[in-house]
Amino acid sequence: MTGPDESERAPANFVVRALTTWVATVVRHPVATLLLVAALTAASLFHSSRTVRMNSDVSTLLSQEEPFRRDYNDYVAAFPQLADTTLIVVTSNSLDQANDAIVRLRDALAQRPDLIATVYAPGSEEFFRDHALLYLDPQALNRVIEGLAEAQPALAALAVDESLRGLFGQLEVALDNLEDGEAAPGVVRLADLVSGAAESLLAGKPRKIAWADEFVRNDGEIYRLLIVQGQTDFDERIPSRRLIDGIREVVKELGLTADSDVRVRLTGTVPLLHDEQVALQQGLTLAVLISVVLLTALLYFGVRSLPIIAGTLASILVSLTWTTSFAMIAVGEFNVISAAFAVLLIGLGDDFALHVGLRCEDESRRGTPVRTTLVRAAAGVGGAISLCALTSAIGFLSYVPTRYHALADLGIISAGGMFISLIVSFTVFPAVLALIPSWSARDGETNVTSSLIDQLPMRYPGAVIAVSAVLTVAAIAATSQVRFDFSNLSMRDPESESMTTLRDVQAQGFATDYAAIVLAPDLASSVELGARLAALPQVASVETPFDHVPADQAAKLELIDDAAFFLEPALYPTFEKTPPDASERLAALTTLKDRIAALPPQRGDAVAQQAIRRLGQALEGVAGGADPMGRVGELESLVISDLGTRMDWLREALEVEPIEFADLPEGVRTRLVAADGRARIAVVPRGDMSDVDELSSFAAAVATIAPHATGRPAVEMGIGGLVVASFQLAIVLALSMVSVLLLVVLRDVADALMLLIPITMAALFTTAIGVLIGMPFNMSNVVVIPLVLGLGVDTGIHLVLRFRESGSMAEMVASSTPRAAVLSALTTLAAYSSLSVSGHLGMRSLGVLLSIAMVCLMFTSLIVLPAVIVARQKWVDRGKKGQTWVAGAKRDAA
Amino acid sequence: MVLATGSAASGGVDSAVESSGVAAPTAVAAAVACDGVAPQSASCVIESLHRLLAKVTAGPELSFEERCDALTPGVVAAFDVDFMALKSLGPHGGKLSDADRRRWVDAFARFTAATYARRLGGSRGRGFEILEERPARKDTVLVRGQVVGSDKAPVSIDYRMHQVGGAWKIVDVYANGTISQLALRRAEVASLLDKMSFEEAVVYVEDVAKVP
Repeated sequence: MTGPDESERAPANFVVRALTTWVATVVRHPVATLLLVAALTAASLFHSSRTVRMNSDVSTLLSQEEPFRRDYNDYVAAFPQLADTTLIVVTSNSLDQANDAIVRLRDALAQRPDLIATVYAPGSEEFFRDHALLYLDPQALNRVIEGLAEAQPALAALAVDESLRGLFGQLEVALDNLEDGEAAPGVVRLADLVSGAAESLLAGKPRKIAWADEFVRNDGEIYRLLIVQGQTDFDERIPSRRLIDGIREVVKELGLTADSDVRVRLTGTVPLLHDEQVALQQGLTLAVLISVVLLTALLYFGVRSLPIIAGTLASILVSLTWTTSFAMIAVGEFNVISAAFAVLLIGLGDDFALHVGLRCEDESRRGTPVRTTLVRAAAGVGGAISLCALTSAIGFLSYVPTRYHALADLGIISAGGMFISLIVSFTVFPAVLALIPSWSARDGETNVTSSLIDQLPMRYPGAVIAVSAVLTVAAIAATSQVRFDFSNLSMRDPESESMTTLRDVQAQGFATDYAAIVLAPDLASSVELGARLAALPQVASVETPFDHVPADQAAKLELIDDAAFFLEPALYPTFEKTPPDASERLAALTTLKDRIAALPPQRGDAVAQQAIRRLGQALEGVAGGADPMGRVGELESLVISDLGTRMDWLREALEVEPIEFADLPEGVRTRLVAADGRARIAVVPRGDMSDVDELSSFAAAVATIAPHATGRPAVEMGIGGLVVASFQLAIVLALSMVSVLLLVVLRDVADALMLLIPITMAALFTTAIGVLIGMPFNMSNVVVIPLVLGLGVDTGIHLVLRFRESGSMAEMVASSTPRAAVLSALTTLAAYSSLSVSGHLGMRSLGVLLSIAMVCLMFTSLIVLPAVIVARQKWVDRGKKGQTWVAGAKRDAA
Repeated sequence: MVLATGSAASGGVDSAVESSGVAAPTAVAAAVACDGVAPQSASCVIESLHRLLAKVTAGPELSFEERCDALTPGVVAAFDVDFMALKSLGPHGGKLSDADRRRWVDAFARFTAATYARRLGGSRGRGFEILEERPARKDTVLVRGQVVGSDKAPVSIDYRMHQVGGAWKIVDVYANGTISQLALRRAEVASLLDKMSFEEAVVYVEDVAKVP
């Protein structure tokens, strides 16, 4: 199709000439060049270390001008206490311990104004402790009242005589009933409590009775929350690390470690972001290491020329350093997505060096000296590489005009990186190679690649094209099922503490991450607005500020009144006995235990009998050992423990009056009603919000009543819409600009079209495979398709240009080009797949999808494209034959 | 499970009933004249109750049922049975129909009378004396007394009373000065209603009230 002289039509002649001149200069002064590069690199390292920043705030990945962002910012401005919070979740089986831990934590954190801006412990306000009974649901409250009724005799006896003597006196009365064959309610519980305390004493691990747990029984674990906002003037790589480390330090100092009865975990916006950052950075560091190792291994097996490997690695390291500096100058910070540039650069940056290096090898087989081969190689591949650099940059830059800033940043950084790689490949690489005196090329190496290309596309081009056509149609059908997952949460490591704690807290009903937030103009209107929202079929429940006031107060107050009534002797004893001395105490115990021992076995309540006997045995143990008087004294302190404090609480709790919204503590009110009077309504969805259709249905429904509703559903819908629009725009841009560029450079419509085939096919196949394996597009991996369109054309360019240069497929196939193409594709694949080890799910999906794309590209570029080239060649030749025949026929006719 | 009609709750009552049926009614410690003319003071109401108890004991041998019948009007007069019956039900009380409520109150009244009746056998030789009457919280008064007798130590019994329609009625009895009968009943009824429906519970209480 094109002969050797047609290489004059090779793209951008002046570029090739410039490159050749440049390489020639470098090769003449390799040492000086390398020294200069080293100095620049050192300067760049210094600059980067001073300026490099990571912005992990996902909310800034998109424009702040978007309506959904404005609504969200408006909400945060109205309720600043709700932004950037850290939720400290304290759990314990003991009410006492949980409450105690929260109070200590709150006080300790309040003493660190350098670290903490605000601390809020919602459940621990005095108000909620005093009104605890009103906040119970009616059934739970009734159970508490019944429990108090059971305990009344014991409590009253203790109020008069707060000692073991008083308690045991009451137990003797209970025994009277037992002897009459009747039960006394509450005796089992009481006996078990005392038995437990006594047994723990005898076992050497004395345990106090926790009266708080007795008064208000809790099933399962107690949860207490502390909401903290940190000081925000930190300037650091991992955000809020100081805050989180500081909190953990305080927790440790308070002794709330893993082996205590209290568990402390962190979740909330700040820890979630922090954990995501950690996962991201760890994943990236690991990915960079893995890709460098894989790269070196591949180069070693593929090239086996130490100078080339050394030169390539040096080029990559220099490119990375310079690009980092460039990034800080051009963009100013890395974000969650653009930080992946390093891996992309490792994968792509070596391509240039490889093509130059293997071309060198080719040339060196003809025995030319190294320096000449380098210049010749530059001339040979310079055009192709420049074009590749351009198309790659276009692929990256196709995101810049979109509204998805984070990817635009990645685009700018990577595009800059492409050009930097180009320069470096033609500077560092030749300089390194020029240092070696002679070249030892490998001979007799079986060219795996050429045999592959040889076999399939060369021999059966028709079959290959037919199969690909079928696959393409299938792929198009599959892409109709493509899904987008906009959720931020789905990108995070699900096993991190912040994520597991979040799920736990949501399951307990303390927080609903997926509620829509609606701001009513004022408190009064929030009721009606809430009712209208609650009527929507997609809404499960609605919470207005008034829902923080307990319901059914009249009924509950009646129950509370009852308890206050029959507990009167316990709460307000008419007289008190003087505390017993040690011998009186012992006497009381002895009397009781003897009484128990003398109890005849009998009919009646078997459970009570057993409890009493257990108590008798425990008391025998206490009285029997050494120093019984001392032991009894210890037992008393275990049993009585903090009863007095609890009775104080009970007195308060039973005296409550009805409360309304204005009575709530200020901390609660200000989190429900903003300073400007707007009231916050939380709308909980009914459906599964990880299903995009249900999410959009819910968000749309809420928006019909409250157009400025915000919260996760609205934000995610906004993000999703924006990402999809950006995605579509980027694809169109990438495809059109690549096409235009190819046309301009190749000056042949047919060639340009041919080069579009492998990339569009690969894009389709990648999307289809993503659908098949159930991997949706998310905020991270949505960059893959435009990248494929921009980057994927490289291999094709190399093949087509080499083919033009040599004029024959056979020669092209035997040249270094296919081998370089395969090798560079493999190294790129290795680099991309290294992203898959990240704990960050977004990065992981990016790695997986990129790897899939690479494999598809390899297939379409190395098998389908050559087949198309061969087929076209045959068709053209047949045409030429026909023309000659026609010309001949015309001549004959004339 | 059995309703605790035992000594703890009615121990005081038991001992009170053991007051000598033969000897003259005990003198009221406070110098209050109880002339039986309504409206009586709180202490006098208690005084009347104990006089009735003594009378029923002192009289000819009556069967259990006859004693119940004799005591019930006095019990209803002295105790605010409506209040105590409903308080023992807790939240369930509000859900009853008028007919059911009436039934429960009646059953409760008979039950209380039966408790006294049961103990009246062999309760002699002990007298009840009123120590003082003092105001208590929530517009009630506490009538403090004790059962005294030759062989045992005195046992405190306090009656908490409020006014209903001008008349003083008992709303709670504190055996040993501390054990609330109201609390006891509440705990017992809760336990009952855990195991059976309201209907069944009413029948149960009515049955127990018939057991001598």
